Amino acid sequence: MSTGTTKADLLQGTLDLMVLRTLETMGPQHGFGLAKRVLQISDGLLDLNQGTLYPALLRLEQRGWVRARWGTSDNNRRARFYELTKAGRGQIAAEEQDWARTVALMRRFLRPGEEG
Amino acid sequence: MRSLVRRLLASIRRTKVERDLDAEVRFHLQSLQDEFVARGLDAKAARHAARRAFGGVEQMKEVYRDRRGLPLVDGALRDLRHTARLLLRSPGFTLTVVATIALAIGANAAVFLLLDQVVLRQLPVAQPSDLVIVSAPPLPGETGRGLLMGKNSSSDGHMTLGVSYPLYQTLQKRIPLFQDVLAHHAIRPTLLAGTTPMLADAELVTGNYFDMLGIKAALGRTLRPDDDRAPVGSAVAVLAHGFWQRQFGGDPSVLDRTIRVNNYPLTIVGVAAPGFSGTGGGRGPDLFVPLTMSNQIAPIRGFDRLSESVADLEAIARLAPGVSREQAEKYLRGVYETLFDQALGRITKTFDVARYKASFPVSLFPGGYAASAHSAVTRELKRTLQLLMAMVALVLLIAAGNVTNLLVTIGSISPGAELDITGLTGPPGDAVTRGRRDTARISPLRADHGARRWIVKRAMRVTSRGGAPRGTPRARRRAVGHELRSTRSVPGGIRGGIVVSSHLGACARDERRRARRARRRDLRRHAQMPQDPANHGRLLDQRDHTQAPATLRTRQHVESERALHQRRPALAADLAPRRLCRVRLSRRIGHRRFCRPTVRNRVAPHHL
Repeated sequence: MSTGTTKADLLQGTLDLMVLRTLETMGPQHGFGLAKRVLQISDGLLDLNQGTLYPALLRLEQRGWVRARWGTSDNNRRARFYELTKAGRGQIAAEEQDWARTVALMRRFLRPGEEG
Repeated sequence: MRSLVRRLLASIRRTKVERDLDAEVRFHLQSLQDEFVARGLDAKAARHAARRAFGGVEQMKEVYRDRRGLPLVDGALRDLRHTARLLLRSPGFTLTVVATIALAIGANAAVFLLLDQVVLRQLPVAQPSDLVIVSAPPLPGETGRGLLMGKNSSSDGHMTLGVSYPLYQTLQKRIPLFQDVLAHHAIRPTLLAGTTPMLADAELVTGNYFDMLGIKAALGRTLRPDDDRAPVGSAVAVLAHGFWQRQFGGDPSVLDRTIRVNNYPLTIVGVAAPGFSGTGGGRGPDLFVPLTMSNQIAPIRGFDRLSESVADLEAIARLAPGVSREQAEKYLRGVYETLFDQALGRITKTFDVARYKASFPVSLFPGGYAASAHSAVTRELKRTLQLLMAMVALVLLIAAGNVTNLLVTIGSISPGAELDITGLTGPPGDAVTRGRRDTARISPLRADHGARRWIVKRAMRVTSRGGAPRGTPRARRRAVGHELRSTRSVPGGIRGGIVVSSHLGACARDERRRARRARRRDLRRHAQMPQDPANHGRLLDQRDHTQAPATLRTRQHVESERALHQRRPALAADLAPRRLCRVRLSRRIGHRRFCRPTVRNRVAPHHL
């Protein structure tokens, strides 16, 4: 396996945050739109696997961070829209902090002596 | 916690959430398709490309389902549904089995109910465990006419001796280890309550009977100690609740009415609380009459029922708090000796009561159960019931045996090919055998004819084939078909559901092993497939939902893909994973979760 192609473990933890953030900036959005948006933001670097995206959305819904309801899409189709709940907004802040901590921690290892 | 509730809900509202999931996936696919159409593909190619881009729909749903419901609950529900479907498929068989088992269970339940009432359950009275039945040989007494004695064997085979009224009075007054003592005696007098005389079950009871047992009156009053005035008590009667309902239709105006018991007029003063039917269990007495009326309503010629010469009362004592039965018995024996000696001193003519004293010492028996009572009916009833219980238990066993035989018969004639079909389409994990196991749980041997063949097949594979059927699906099916024919001639093969279900675990293991082998084989094939030059040799077909949650691509890869899009749109679609899944449903199972998409039209990759 070539290096740098998949970072499965790392992505698993960050997917929630990505989805939540996307929902925060874009407002209610359906699964297809989310996938497209993530691909777009990552400039085509991150191709979300649908087998991951939908279960992740479900997980967020079960935790009460997003709410799903049926609506009509731009192309006039019935689609399931996900929107952020209040708890979800709170979660973004928490996850952001977590992420910043992780990044800071990793930086210490990768570039020792730089922090301060 | 909230998540748990939601998942549980999802498990229960399966149809709705499943529909939602379908709709969501459909929307995604349609949107993808729209995009491909916009890029210039025709409708059909766009649909295929969308499917390819999305990846394995069924796999994704499977992951989703695991996340959505509680896998354990989901699995159990699904397996139950599968079992129900299997049973429904042969309604005649199911009906026969259900009827057989139902009859056997019904008989058991009926007999057990009786047994429970009579033998196992304590009497519905206050603190039944404190009650003891007093058995004492009669004291020597002077009468000109001999002695009438009540003698019964009690529940545990001991003889209990009835006591006389004077002895009862002594017990009640002189034994401090007893809180209270009551005495009663059942008679079967002629009762005239309206115009037609009838035989009734009456209980002659002491005045403290109801108070000591803690039975309240449903109407009017119960008997009171002052109804006991000797030599002639109050001419009153208390009706049992059931008798009041049956005979008087629950009429409250029954109070103060006069009934004639053995032609002796008694006034009804009350009705006992419902649920109480004497201390003997069964239907119990119809009415209660003061014991001191016994000479009036049930006279014995030449005897005074309230004298020493008639010892046919059953005395039930309530032990004082903290006193054990053994303690009380020991104490009572001492008192009895004194009484005996005193009585001996009084009389001039000896009775042969010493014999009784020697063979039946004063004893106390537990009195809290209906069957411990002294009535011959309940005593017989207990033995009969125990016998009956054993019989119906045997009937249940026979019924189970019959069902087993039926299954053996069916198992040996019906081939039932669904296991082979699902085996070929490749179920996830041990789903197939799990269904089998659950069927086995409900009707042990229904599962068997299939399971047996699994076992046989497994054995055959080991002995004659040395591996799972290989080759194209058709070839594999042919191979299994061959096995099917050969297994039908395997004689017997069933040794009962228990044996079979223990084999099923082995079958599941075997199935897993087979799946692993197939995966490895697939991987080997993949290794020989053309590789994507734009992506450092990554396999074209490497999108596996169970492994990578997302694909992080290199900039170079993205660029090259974009270039391709511009040059040949159709080729771009081909770059997407080329595994087009077609779900084939096993019709005999009729459930999509029992099959795995099979890989169809593995198209040769386009040359760049």
